[in-house]
Amino acid sequence: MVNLVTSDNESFTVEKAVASRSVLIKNMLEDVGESDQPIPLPNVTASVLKKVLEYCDHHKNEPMPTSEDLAAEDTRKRTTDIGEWDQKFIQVDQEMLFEIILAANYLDIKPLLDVGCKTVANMIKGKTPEEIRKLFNIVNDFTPEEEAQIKKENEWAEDR
Amino acid sequence: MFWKPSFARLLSRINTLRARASLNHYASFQSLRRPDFAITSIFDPGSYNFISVVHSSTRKTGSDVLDKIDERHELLKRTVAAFDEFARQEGLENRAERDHSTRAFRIPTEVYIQIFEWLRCHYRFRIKDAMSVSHVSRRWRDVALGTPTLWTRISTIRKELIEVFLIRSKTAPLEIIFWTKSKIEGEPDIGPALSDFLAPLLPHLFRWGSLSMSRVEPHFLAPHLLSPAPQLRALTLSRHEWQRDDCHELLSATPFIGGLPCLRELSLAGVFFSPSSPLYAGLTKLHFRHVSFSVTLLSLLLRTLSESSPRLEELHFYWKFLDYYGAPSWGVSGQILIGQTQNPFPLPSLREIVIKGAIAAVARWILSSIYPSPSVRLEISTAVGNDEGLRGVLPSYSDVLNTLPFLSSIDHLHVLGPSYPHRELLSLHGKAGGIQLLTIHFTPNPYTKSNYPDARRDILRSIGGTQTYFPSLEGLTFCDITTRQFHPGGLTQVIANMPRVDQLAFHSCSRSLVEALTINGTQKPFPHMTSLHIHRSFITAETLIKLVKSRVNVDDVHIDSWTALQESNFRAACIDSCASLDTLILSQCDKIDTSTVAVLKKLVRDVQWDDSRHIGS
Repeated sequence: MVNLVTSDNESFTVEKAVASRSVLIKNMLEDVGESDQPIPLPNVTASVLKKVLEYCDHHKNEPMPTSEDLAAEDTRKRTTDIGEWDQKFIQVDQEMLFEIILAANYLDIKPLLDVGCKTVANMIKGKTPEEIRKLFNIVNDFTPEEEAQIKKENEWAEDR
Repeated sequence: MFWKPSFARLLSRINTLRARASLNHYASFQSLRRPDFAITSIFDPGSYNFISVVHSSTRKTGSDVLDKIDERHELLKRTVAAFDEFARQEGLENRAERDHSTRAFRIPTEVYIQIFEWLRCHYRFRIKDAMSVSHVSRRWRDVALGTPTLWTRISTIRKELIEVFLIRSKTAPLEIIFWTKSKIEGEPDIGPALSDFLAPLLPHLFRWGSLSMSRVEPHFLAPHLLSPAPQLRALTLSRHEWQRDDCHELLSATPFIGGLPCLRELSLAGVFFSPSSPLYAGLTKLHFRHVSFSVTLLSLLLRTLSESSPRLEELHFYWKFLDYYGAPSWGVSGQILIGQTQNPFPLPSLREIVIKGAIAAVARWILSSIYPSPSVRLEISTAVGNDEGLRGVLPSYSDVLNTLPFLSSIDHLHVLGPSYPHRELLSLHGKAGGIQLLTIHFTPNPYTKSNYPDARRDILRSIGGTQTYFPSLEGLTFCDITTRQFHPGGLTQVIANMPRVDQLAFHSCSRSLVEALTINGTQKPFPHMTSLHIHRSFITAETLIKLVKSRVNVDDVHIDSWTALQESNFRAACIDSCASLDTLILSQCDKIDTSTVAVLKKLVRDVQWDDSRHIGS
């Protein structure tokens, strides 16, 4: 078993197979060897880690993606389809979605990061810039010169 | 709050002054005996303060007053301009600061790049999506412009935009799509449009990753593609349009002078390259649409593929006018005028064969001419003539021995004809043991409707029955069938004998048929059913709940919840030998609502409901 300690000082004891879905933790365990020492995760809160561990537990028996898999992914046609379980798992509010993405990136859990990124990509798909700003609470900070360039690009795109 | 309180007041004041100044109507000022352009202070962006105090207590008339007004008006204009510039700069920074606090901003750039790359992978990605993300904010634009793959799709857009995309995509492989509307009589030829489109792209030929030309007559294209495309992985060529009496165009000249070492996916519609073309080497996917092969051509093609594309995984044939194309050489209505291939061509990696629209003789010949992978997926849609059975669709007897034992599934075995397919199925006894999934899809034939119930019952008997012809069959899908057409009453024993069918699906079937094949009778039909998919149905909530209740293990559910179902005398009808229904998928079931699904979720572990309706869809 592995003991993980979150940024808000909560401890999680999980199976090594579950924790090792994170390449970061896996490498730490390999570096440290057998130890009872808790692993601090200063960038992850308890609520987020709980969710991440739920994902890791569900996928614990799946083979870890190898570097060859990742290389092959470039040549294979990639799809934004998300598995049924993963879809339900990622149905969270936007704050948690971004927290999961940040945690997956920090913990180096590529499949979970992909699920998060695909979800955001699917949210963006087909939306106008204004709709995207509204969705993610982003402010339009373009200068008038940049706005003019954007307007020109839009005119080129609308022309046909 | 960013703005200092005094600053807000000043802004208000300046706005007032600017409004007044903008009147620019000296007469109005003149009419004021004491023109109140009492600018008590002038805004200084550097100190956040007003620096000038201008009092106009002197009463003057005529040109003096006008000069003063001019002078002060100019001063006011400069001040307002200075303030506008200051406010804009400060405002941008302020807004940027607010942006920094959003969750989206916390996402690191490398993750944003991944998000944009996934956006690019979306099956409905359009150029507009790339434009949209680059028009959100400065940061998004920086990331978008730093993601070359976002700009690799180039379709029929203006030349200026093509140039922009070519720059932003840097050295990434390009996906080039040329599409034009259907040719209309009198419309200018597409030749010049194609030339204009290709002109900026040809210097980047070395990084073309895919090329899709739709509705383009190949002779327009050929003169342009005279150099190798070393990175091209996918090529799709589609002719302008097909008429019933058209013949496909056999291209003798090979585009790119054959220099396509990376070509893996080739899709040809209405055009065909000679079987000796180097384009057929090294492929993993080969799709033909509306290409009529002679026996000789197809035989040569299969030989070429076997020799030069050992890693071919997909082979698709789709004929639009199956009663015309190829008929003279292949024979029509099942009269096979050709002999069988003596030595089938091995294609050891072939995992998917799709043959749609071809006459049965062609489908049969193709299947008998190749040796696919043991796990090949076969999808055939064809017509079976009056004097022709499934034998005409599936491989012939000798082919059955060679091919069918390897089949793991037959998807979409559409039985369109009016004949007696059960005879053919019966003839497959012992030969089709590997088939696990079968779709039974009948299209009524107006001339032989009376035979249909018998034919359908017989085909089911041939699948189940006391003797099992498909011992590995695990899934059955019924499409477009009603009880009246099927008469399932006498089939209970046949269905009950199906040893392993645990997945059942009904697509556009009548409610009574669903009932008859799932809950009628003392013996439960399909006793091992664990998964049920009902698509496009008017099945009612009551019927569905009754069905589900008869299929669940009474110990697994909360009895209390059942009392709300107004069936006080319900007694679990679950038979010991009956498997428990584990998955229920409901799509486009108009009479199912949220409350029904809530009840179902207490009875079945996995309930999937799409909350859509098919009326009007």
